[in-house]
Amino acid sequence: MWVVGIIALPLLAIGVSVFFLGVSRKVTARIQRRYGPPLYQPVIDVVKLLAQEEHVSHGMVFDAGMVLALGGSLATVLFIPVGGLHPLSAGGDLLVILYLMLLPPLGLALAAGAAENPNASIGVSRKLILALGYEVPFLLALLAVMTQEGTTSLVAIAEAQQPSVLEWGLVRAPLSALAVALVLPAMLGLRPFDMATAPQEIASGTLVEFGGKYLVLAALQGALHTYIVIALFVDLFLGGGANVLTFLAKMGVVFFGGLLINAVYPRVRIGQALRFCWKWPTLLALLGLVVVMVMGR
Amino acid sequence: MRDRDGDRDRTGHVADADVNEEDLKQRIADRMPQCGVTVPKPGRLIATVPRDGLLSLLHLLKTDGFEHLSLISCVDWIDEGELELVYHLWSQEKKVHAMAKTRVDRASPRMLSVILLFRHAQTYERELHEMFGIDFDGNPRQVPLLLDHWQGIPPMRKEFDLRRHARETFGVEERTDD
Amino acid sequence: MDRAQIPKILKSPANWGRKYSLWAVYFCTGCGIIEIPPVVTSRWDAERFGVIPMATPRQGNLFLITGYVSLKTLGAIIRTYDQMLNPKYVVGFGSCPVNGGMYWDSYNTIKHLDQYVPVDGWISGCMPRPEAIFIAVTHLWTLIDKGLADGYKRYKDNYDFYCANQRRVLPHLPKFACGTGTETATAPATLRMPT
Repeated sequence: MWVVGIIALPLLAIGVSVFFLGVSRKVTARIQRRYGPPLYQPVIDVVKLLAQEEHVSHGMVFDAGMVLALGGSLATVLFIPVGGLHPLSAGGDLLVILYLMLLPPLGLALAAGAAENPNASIGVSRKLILALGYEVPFLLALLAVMTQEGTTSLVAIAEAQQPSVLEWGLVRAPLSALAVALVLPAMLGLRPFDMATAPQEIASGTLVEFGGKYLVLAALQGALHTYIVIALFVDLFLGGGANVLTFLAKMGVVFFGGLLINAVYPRVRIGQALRFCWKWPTLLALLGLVVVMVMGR
Repeated sequence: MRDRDGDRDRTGHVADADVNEEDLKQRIADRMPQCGVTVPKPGRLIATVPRDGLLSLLHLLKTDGFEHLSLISCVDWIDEGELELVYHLWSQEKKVHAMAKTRVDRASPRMLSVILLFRHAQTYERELHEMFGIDFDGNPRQVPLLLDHWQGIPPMRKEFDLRRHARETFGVEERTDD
Repeated sequence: MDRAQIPKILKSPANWGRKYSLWAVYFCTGCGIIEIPPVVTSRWDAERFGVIPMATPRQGNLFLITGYVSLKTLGAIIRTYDQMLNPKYVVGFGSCPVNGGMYWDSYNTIKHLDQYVPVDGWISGCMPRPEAIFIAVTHLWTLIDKGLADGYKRYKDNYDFYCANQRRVLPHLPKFACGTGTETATAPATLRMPT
């Protein structure tokens, strides 16, 4: 039956991420006191992009980079348990997820480099510097959670939080949860940390030369990345989910919180972002790690 | 009392209205006798010099408090065969708008650049070079602002036939009143 | 979405996508661009129509030429238009692209945008109101449905005609630099319309 899981989980992820795209535009519009597009607007956009009569490619590296990015995201999706669905669980899959999460930025960097556009280079450098920023507190927080549960299996961590709300990672390792929550907008590419694809400044950064079907791949990859990050957060700190529906509900709550922040904040510079990520979230994560190690004795 | 443009305000309160301009007029006349100075209304000062005295006049005005060069404009006196250059200066503390005017020959207009006094005059002189064809000695950047690869006489001159040029280059249709 | 639309969507999903997802290239041409921020922001929300401003021409398929087009701007417009991916729609916005507007006798603005870039529709006014932009968008939807918004096809079929006109006013455009410099550009007499 794990074959069914392998097919169903990516489809579920794609469906949920496209739904989140539509929800984000609608919610942002409503916050700005206007009506906004219908919820199925991303579907219309995808249909339009696929129906374009010409697609400009910049060589094989361009195509391959994009496919690598999307493939990396789809592979990562398979390892994150959603409620009861975890077709490929094994010990150590948290580390596998961390490694697989490096593939999409690599693929995008390849594609953007092949595009030979200075805007793309700026976007890629900002994206990678931002990744450098949020990886430090994120990994420290992950280390704290792994030490506390004594396992590197994400399924075990999620299941250990099932019994009650008091068992959630949010309550048992609050400092680590707070650290990850602070860098969550940076991981999701939401304001105030959306300088990697800044339309007004660098003409959409990495996506500047992506048109037609390549933009579909890039948009899908971006949406899947959002899904992955939020699902990880829910599995680590918000108690996973008894079944798929509660899991998706928790994901919706976290996404809504990120949208509210996104609608209100302006964009910061990459230097300010790096300084922020390496200050309070890192300190909190470090403190959380120390607390977990001390209390573990 | 004076509002921002140097004109009298509505109460008509005179106060020390004309002392400023008459003062300046006297000072300029004293130091540069070849310069013709008039005060057409309160807050305005017009000083006319021959071409070679312009730089000294601008220096005089600048040290007298006219620290802001607002614009350099040009008038095409086609019947007299001259181009008149007008340098608009503004004094913030005196609230007086001074115009230093000079005339250059229309056939081959050359003028000394004033970028040593006012650095931003470079752009104004660049525009006048493009639109009137005046050559400013000492301006290092007299390249076109708008009209790349322009062939023809400078378009702001009065002998430039605007309608004909528009019709020939772009095919404009003139409206016939019927 | 009302049920009457569903057969139309099933007949041509491509047209459905192109209609309701018009991404306008964020190119600020002339004074008319001052009308675009109110249209795109909260008061006259253009996102309901699917129209959002897009930063790069590779991703945009609607080109609003708002306001007067000086020769320098025309060079940039041609470069941007050439980079956009088919199908692409150009809308002339304001009276300046139509016949020169109030700059009809200027030495530096073009008078008929249609000679240099194919135009699918015009919005007259100086400036048109935001409501006029939305009426134009709905008209463009009708044209897309009927297959009449084929400016990009006209451009491909009559590329010599457009290039001759562009070359006449902008001989030093980089895209003409690749050919031999001594050839003279003669405009063909007529514009071939698509059959």
